[in-house]
Amino acid sequence: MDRRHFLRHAGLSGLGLGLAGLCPGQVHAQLQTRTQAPTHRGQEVTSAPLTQDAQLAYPFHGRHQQGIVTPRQATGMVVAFDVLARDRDDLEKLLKILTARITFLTRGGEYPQRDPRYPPPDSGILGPSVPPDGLTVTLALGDSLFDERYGLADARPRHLQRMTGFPNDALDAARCHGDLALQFCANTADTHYHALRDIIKHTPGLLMVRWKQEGTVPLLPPAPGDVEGSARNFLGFRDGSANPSIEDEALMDALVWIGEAHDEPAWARGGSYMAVRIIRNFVERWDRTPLHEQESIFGRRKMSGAPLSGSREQDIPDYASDPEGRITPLDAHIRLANPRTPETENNRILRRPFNYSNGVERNGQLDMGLLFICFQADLDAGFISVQKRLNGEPLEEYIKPVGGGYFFVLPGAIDDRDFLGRRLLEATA
Amino acid sequence: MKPHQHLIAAATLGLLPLAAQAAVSPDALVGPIAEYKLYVLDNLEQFVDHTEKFTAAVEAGDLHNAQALYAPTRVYYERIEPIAELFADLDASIDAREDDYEQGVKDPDFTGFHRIEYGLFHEHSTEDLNAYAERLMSDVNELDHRVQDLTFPPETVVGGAAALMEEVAATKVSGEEDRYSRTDLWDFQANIDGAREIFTLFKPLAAQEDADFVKRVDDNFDDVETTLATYRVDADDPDAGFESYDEVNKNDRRALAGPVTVLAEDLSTLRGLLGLN
Amino acid sequence: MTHSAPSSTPISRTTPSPRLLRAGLASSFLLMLIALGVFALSLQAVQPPRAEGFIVNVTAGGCQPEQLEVPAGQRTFTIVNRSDRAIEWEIIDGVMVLAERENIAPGLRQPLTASLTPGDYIMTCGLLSNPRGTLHVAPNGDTSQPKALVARDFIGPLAEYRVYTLLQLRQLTSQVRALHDAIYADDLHTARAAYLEARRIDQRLATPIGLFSDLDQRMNAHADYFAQRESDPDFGGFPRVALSLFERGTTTDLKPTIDRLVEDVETLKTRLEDAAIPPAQLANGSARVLQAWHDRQVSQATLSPRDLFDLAGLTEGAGKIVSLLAPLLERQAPGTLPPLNDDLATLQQDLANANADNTSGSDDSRGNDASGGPLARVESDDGIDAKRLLQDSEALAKSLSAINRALALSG
Repeated sequence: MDRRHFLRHAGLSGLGLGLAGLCPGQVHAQLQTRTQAPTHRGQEVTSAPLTQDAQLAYPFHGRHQQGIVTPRQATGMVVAFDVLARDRDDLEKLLKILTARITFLTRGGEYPQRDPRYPPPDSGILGPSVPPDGLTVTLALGDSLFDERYGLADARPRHLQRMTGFPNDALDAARCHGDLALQFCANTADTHYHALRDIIKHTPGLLMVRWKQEGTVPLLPPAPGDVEGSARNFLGFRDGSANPSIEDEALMDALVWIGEAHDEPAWARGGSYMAVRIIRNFVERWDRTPLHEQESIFGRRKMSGAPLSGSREQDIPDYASDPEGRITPLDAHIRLANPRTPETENNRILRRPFNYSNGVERNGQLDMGLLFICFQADLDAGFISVQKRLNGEPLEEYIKPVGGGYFFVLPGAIDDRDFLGRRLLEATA
Repeated sequence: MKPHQHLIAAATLGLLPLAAQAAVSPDALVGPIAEYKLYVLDNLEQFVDHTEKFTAAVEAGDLHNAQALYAPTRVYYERIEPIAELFADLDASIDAREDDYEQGVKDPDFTGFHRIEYGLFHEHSTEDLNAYAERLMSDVNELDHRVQDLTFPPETVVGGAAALMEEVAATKVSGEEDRYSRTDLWDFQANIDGAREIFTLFKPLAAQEDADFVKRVDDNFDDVETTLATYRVDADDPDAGFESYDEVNKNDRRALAGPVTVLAEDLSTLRGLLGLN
Repeated sequence: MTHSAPSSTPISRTTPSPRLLRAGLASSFLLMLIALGVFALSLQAVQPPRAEGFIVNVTAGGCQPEQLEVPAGQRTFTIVNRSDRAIEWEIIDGVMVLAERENIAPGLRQPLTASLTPGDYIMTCGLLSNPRGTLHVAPNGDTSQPKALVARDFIGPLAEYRVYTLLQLRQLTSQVRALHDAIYADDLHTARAAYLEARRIDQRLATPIGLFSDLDQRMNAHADYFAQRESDPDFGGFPRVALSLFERGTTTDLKPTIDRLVEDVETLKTRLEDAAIPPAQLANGSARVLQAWHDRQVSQATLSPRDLFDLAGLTEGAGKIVSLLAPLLERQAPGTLPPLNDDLATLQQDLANANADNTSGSDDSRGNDASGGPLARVESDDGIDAKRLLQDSEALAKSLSAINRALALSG
């Protein structure tokens, strides 16, 4: 099965990620069926809710890692780690363990039995047989891993750098950076909790969790007639409307994946840069903001997602005939982020965010926001340029980036004998 | 499922024995457990002795001396924590932290070392600490009394090594045990001492089952102690203790966290290795 | 069972006629009778085939037979004293005493039951100077022996007992040293006080010391067991020290004895550090030492204060063992625990009463530290009413010896 065919198949079968692929009729039929039969025979209130796509598995091996152009799953989590490995041998051991664990976890299966006098080999939170549940685990390296510890400095990807604060940032050191990051995505949150605990159990002395942020994608049904609606963020707006299409492989090779054309070390080909930002939203204040102002700030209609210059989400915003920003303000979020000019074409990024809700701040306000994740082949041309254009945007009054980091997504592991990071180690041997 | 099992075996690098060997005869555990109780009794004797001096200093209003005696007194408790914490009431009144109480420092139930620590190192005063000092002394005497006649549960003793490492991993690596005095490294070393004592007592038995395991644990203990030793005030005088936890640099925190988690993982299998439930 | 018989027939599915019901009841009654019969038979099977078991005659010169072979399992021996003085008889495994019977009067026979695993054992035969007999225990296909508790259950109690033993030994060492120094200083008063302290610990440790027959003999054997009694060159240990200190009122001639005692305590320490005490020995051992005390005193109408003092030490040692085994008993055979605790408490109470009586009766200046205390009591000549304490000690010994059966322990 080729990758593209597989993706389409996955998109159709996945509940959490399948909305884009379902026609409205199907959605209605499903809704009706559910209302008529809200419970199953023999189900009690504490019975596990049934999922339909637990057996969905994305193949781990390939030129690229999963979790980038994979249709976004319903839940995501970024975990950044300090690497405790004492030397290169330890680091290689770590990369091999991670490869082996990710291979197992994304494929699913059973753990071996163990004498009950020992701690069990698995947390068991998914039961005796672990389903793949659409899990992808994406391994990326932080700038700090290329310091003096492991002799990787000469092979550092050219644009990899420590994230520095932008004017509106209030970065919390405890939620920034990391030697290594894992992006977990799955249909259900429990699947990545399970995966994370499995990985922690298998990497004592090698990894220490530095920070972690989870998020979800809301399962909103698209409005009737709306075929490809993007999911909404916690400000109520559709997010990701202008993403470059993952169906366009040439575009992905240009904007997302490191290739020969990019001026990067050869080992890095097939990799990508991942920018992660934990962006707090002041939702109470946002909810007290007039709709018109909200829409001006974003440059889109809230319900439809259409640009202010259009009527549907998919419409291309028309800035050329609006040079003074009468329809779409010049400082509207989408206009700053993507001015749609030839010279900003290479600034485009592949966004793959999740919404987060962490709890309550001391002042009684909700700690909600966006776990912003984007991928690009050139970090400077991509996220950093876009964010620089956004500096000072009106939206800043309602958001506050508090954490995150820049990471380099390793090229994929080709087969069972390969492991993530092999080419990096070989390039620096 | 074969390939998965293979992957696990490859990935865990021998950290997960799948079957308890149980070749260790239960009789063989009697000696080490008895030895461990003697170790605990010796430490308790010292603990009572040091607590007398510490509380006397507090009650005498001698701030300087009380501050100096705080950490050296606690170490005896931290070494024997697997046994001491069997008595939940005393553990709470002797060693609870302010986070354990809804109203934090202000909570009327907050007593013991950390309450006194708050006075000595945060308020820089012995004022209003007499009642806490008196209570601490009577709690420590009560603990001593209870342990004398206690039959040590074998599982608690053998599992105590892992319990101490969990303690280290949870509160010592992060330096949140002694938040006012910043004397966490004393407690850190004491937890390691206590864990290593247990491990050493059972080492000959464990070595019969898994020599690699024993070597790995010893190596990791050595690593932790070597890193800790660089923070000793006086390398030739163990009683001089440790520098403030604030002095521990990032690299060393990392260097400590690694072996500590491996020790926690490894020692969690010690009970199984010795055929205990 | 009473219900299964009728309901297993197809007829019972319809409403049974009164006649059928009666038949059913009758048949179930019959089944019950059979069951009772089987139960009774099984009870009988547990009993030894012959009440007296294996007969061992002990003469002035040794055991007859000198070599005995028995099958493994619970075995009863009847010891017949055919000599002209009281004897003891023991089964020894290596140097550890497995079972013993003390103070068998001339001409009498006493039974002794022990659970034996296959192997070779030694029998002591009367006088310590007599040749010892051998007891060969042959393997036995019999699987009806009580199933032992999991060995793991005893780790905790055994470890705690070892701690107790080692801590008591530390004290014993220092008290015996003090006794040694007082004897060398020719200080009778200090020596007597040190003797009492040391002896009390020695008695607390009677069970573990009793495991080593050679040491036990040297430290604790009474003069009666030696061919030349008090004047026997091998007579030593605490009884020999007591003889001089209390009967003869002197410390002279005790130097070789106390040197030897110091040495024996050291040996004891070394041995106990390496010894693994079998779980069954905890209860059996303390039962045995209490019974031995009882057997020695049974012919006397009153007890000397020193006998009382010995009993106090023995009772403390037994109390420790009871406290260790109590949790296991509570789990395995909860019914046996209250009587055991009662027997212990009664003995402790009567001991306390006897001490109080003795002190008040013998010492007018009670409350004066210089003349009160254990030494004053022991130095007084007043006898103590033995009856209650004899009863108590035997009762506790009996309850203790029932523990192993309750715990299904053998050995």
